[in-house]
Amino acid sequence: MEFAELIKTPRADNVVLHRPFYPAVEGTLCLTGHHLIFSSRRQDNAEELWLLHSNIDSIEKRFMGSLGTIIIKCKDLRIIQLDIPGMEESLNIASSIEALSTLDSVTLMYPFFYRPMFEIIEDGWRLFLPDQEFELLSSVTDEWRLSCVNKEFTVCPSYPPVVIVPKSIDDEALRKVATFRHGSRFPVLSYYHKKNGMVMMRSSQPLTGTNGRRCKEDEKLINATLRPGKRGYIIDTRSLNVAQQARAKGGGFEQEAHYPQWRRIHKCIERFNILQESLIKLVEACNDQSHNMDRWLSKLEASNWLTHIKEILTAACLAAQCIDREGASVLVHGTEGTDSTLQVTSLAQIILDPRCRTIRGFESLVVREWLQAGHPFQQRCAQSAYSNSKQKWEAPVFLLFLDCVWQILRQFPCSFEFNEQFLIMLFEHAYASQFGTFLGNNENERSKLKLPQKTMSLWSWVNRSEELSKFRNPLFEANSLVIWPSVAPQSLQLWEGVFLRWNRSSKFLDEAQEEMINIINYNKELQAKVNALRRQLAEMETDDKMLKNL
Amino acid sequence: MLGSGAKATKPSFVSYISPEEIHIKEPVEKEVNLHLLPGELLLCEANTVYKYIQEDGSNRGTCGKLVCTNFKIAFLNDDSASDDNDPQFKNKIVGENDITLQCVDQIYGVYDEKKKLLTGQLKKYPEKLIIYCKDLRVFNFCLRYTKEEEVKRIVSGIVHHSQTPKLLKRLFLFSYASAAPNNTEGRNETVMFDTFEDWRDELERTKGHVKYKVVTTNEGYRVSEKLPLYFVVPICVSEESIVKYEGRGIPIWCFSCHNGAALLKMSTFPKEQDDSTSQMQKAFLDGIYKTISKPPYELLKTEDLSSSLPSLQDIQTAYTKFKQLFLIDNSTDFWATDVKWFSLLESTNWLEIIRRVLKKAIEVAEYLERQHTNVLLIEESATDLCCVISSLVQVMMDSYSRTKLGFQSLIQKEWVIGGHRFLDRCNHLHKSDKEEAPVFLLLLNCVWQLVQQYPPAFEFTETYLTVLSDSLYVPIFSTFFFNTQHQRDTSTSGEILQSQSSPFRFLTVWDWSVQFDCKAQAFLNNPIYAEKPKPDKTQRKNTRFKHQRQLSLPLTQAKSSTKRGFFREETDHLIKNILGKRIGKFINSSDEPPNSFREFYDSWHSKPVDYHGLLLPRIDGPEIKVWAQRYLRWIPEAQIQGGGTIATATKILDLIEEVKSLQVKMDEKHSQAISGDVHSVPMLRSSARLSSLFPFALLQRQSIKPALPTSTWKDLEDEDDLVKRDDEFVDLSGDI
Repeated sequence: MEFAELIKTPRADNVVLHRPFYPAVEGTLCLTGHHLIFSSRRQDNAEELWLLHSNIDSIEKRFMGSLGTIIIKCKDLRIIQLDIPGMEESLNIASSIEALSTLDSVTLMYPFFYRPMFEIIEDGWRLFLPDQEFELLSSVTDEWRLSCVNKEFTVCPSYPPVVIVPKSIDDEALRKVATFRHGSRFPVLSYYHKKNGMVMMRSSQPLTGTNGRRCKEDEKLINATLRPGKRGYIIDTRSLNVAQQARAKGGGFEQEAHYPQWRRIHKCIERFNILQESLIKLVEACNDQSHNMDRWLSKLEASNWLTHIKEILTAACLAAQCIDREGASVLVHGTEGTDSTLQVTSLAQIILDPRCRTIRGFESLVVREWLQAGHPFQQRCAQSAYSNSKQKWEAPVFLLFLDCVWQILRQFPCSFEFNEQFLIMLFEHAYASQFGTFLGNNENERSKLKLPQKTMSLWSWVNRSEELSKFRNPLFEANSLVIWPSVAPQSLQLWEGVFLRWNRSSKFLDEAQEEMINIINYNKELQAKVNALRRQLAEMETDDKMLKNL
Repeated sequence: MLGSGAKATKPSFVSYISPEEIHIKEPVEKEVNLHLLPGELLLCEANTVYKYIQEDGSNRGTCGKLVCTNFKIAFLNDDSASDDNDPQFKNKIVGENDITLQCVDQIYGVYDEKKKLLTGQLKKYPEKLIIYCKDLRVFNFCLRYTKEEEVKRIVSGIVHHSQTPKLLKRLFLFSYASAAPNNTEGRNETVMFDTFEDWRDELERTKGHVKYKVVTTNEGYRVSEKLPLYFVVPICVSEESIVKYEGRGIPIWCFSCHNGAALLKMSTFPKEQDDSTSQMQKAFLDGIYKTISKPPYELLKTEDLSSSLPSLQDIQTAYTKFKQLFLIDNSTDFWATDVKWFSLLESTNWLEIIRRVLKKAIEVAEYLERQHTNVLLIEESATDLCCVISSLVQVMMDSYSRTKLGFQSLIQKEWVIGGHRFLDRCNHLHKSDKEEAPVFLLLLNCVWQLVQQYPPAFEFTETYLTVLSDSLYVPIFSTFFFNTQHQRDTSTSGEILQSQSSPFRFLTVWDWSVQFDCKAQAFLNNPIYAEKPKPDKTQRKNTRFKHQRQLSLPLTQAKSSTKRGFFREETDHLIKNILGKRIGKFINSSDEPPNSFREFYDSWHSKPVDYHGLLLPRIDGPEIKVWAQRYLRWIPEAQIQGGGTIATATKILDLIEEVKSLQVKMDEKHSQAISGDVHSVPMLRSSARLSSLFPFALLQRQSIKPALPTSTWKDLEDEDDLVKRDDEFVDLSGDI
């Protein structure tokens, strides 16, 4: 298919662009296969707006005589308005945008066409391979092994080709366990707590069904992670009711009788459309320009967004607490093991492991616990808060995770190497990007699409020092401790950087950015000064000593 | 405390601990000394009282002695462990286990698990005492092991001294002042506004002396006991007119802003039945309005606060509801509010009141700044909401009011001398509950919103505001314990205590060294305050000239430069330029806008912030926050160990301190003076050890623990039962 077929009017002049907090600008609008480009042709300060079609969540069109108005709502929650003279032009442009922003085929997406303008120092696709992760692990324990049982994605389509499992369990047993778990997602290692050797595993629900099926290999597999005489915890991210109902559909949960060494704790993390609706309500509330305090708080509460944040954080804290405080191993699962399970396992690692609070470590966490673990990004992030279509697989699961990370980051402002901008950047790229990282639903799809060969990795771009400098937290001070966030509702806040981002003058934000860079530079100056003074002091002290010795 | 409504809803966070489980430490018989202030007398005491606190999900009891003096209720425990870990932020007057009598809010007795409010005479004595404090601490005392007669004495003593009406002269203030007569007022640079000169200087500082004058009409309180000795009125207002209605109907000057427009306040006439009197009053007012609307005075805008702002009752009701959210008996209650937190918060209406007050202050600022209009605030007594609005406007418009001294002087000017009836509003004497209203607290809450929105603009910290709010209840300072200047003066001169030969010298709260040592006082100063660079005189003239020229020029759409630095000298100059442009723009557009407030607000917020210029609070719903430090500081569940904004502050402080101390060391080396170690930094080194509620989180000193109420095996037993039950259910269904 040629993009040209979809673009009947590639260009329109005298278009007026309206954005909140900016004066309206007149200019030329161009449509390309992947971008909507607006350029104000003013001599003095030409302004250009490039918008990826894939970033467009929904559009609305209106007519006033022959003047067409298109309101574009983006997945990054921005809203812009274009006034286009001429009925036909506006109709053409609107239908082109609609078609181009809802392309069916992944291979037509921009990442397949994007050619980087920067030099690639490190290929992001090769950065976080399971082998490297395993190497780190085997330096502290030899109880685990890399299994290639899923080499051709034959055992579990949503798992990566290699996974880490207990050494004592062979591939044959793994195949059997896979038949007992939803979507074949058998328990695999998620995190090893070096401090006490406890582990966190994740899987999907066991397929016990109504007649209480059991699987000896499954029991053996998870028991293999326990120390003699020790107990473990199974954190089920569903409420007991939901878990019971799942049995009717062939799912279920680990029964006490068959897993006597495990205690099960049910948490209640919502899924799919409930989350999606929550996001829609929240964004509606944030975009409401009436300044009534009363309505604001009710709307905020009614959206339930912060309740979801609290539930997820609580479950993650609980998992971390079991591992660090109770000295017990943990297995986390919900139904499919691709959404709430990953929220819990990844957040628990941020709480427990200082490495995950560094930039590299966090990238590695996103790769391990989200991309390789098979979170269906393509499905979940197909639409954002302005979507009209109510597909049941869209859900802001990853955004909720990022929000939780932001909550912890806000509570521990010095313990993270990255800043809020880094999280916002990940949010944007998960929904629309020139990079291939977040395309596809799992490693299987990614390898079929040949993404590593045909597209650029987000990490190749981010990890260059020019970009990194924007994402560094100047206050970072490596904190080797476990950090316990407060989950009290009073401690949780709305993530203004995402949800109120476009409702404020961005000039203000630009300045904040500039101010921040100033502070970082000032900080560097100070550090340099400190170092210089230290050196001078040391020199003087040695001089002193020499004088005394004389 | 939250009412049955809140408890009926299912909390999403389950606590597994019953509040009755108490771990009691073996009482160690050790005499603990009660530290008494000069003039403080021990009234009654009780031994083997257990104070219990929730820690790590279970109750921990400490045995000790409960005493009541004419100043405070104190719990003396022999827990020597607390001594090793001396908190850095310690109040010298009021200790961790001290409650001043004025700080007691309500006392409840527990009888057979039932809570009952204790007031006045008691027939039966409770087994437990719960004391809710005005600074939101909650104390639980168990009297089960105390001798009966001691229980009687202590309970009735505490209730009597803290909850029943009192005479003014029985306030501890007087015993303290007479017992410690040598209290020389410490070096205090705060302008007190009790002399003619203070007012004259203030007029000169704000350049208001051209059109306004200090009057001495009320010397000796000849005109009114409600008015201060000295105050400022428009030059054209005659002494006769001031005398005529005892100062009512007279515009009293608060503040002149840089363009000459002034903020005035006026107390109204009470509603008169008599027609002819009210006619006369109306004619009088018309005359006054006419004189002060004529040139050289600017146009006048009157602002009747009683109609445009919530009433004092509304404020009191809202705050009463609001504080209940934080007076929490145990963590079960805390997690019970969990699901409904936002609706509970909203239903109190307290944040909405803050928002409305801030909005009103912005409106007033708009009239002054943009429309060059004088604003006359009108209220019945002109001593409540008038004080709030005029103080807020000054904080927003006058950067001097954002320094510590400036803010203190402002409180003196508008509140203490201005005649805010602290005694009645705080109900210090328990005379009448109807008069009680947290008006001053409302101001502090509003200022806090500004402080948290623009931290570099303030010389003081939120901790300063918090301890200031606490000082409302410490009766050794005269500042907040009189209704009027007259009442204070007559009390000082010894009229009340005839035996006193020399006049009392009361302490002022502004002498912070009375409450805090140097280290602790450091927490009141904002380390990231963007200090105003000393302006060069010639430069100042230049800018003013430019300023005027700007006004007459047509508006140019020049793009304002956004270059701005934290520590840069040139900022000031630049900002003044921008400010000039801003005014120019306003003048141009002042004709058309119906919604001028909104435009003013939006336009200000689309520009870079000048920390030394006009400062407008953001008042959109999401921007108004709960003052966490003041309200959550005693709730361990809301703590973030090793986190919070304090982590950032510590990091910055450490860096600054390190540079400084190295510099000091260097200088010492240079001057060949080899001396001891460089003194240590006032903050703990590692921010990982501090709690977000620092410096107030005193309850959990031990270790860093997660605030999840699921920390022991025992907790999970219950869960376990649930699981088992469920599994039985499974088997049954299998059989069928």
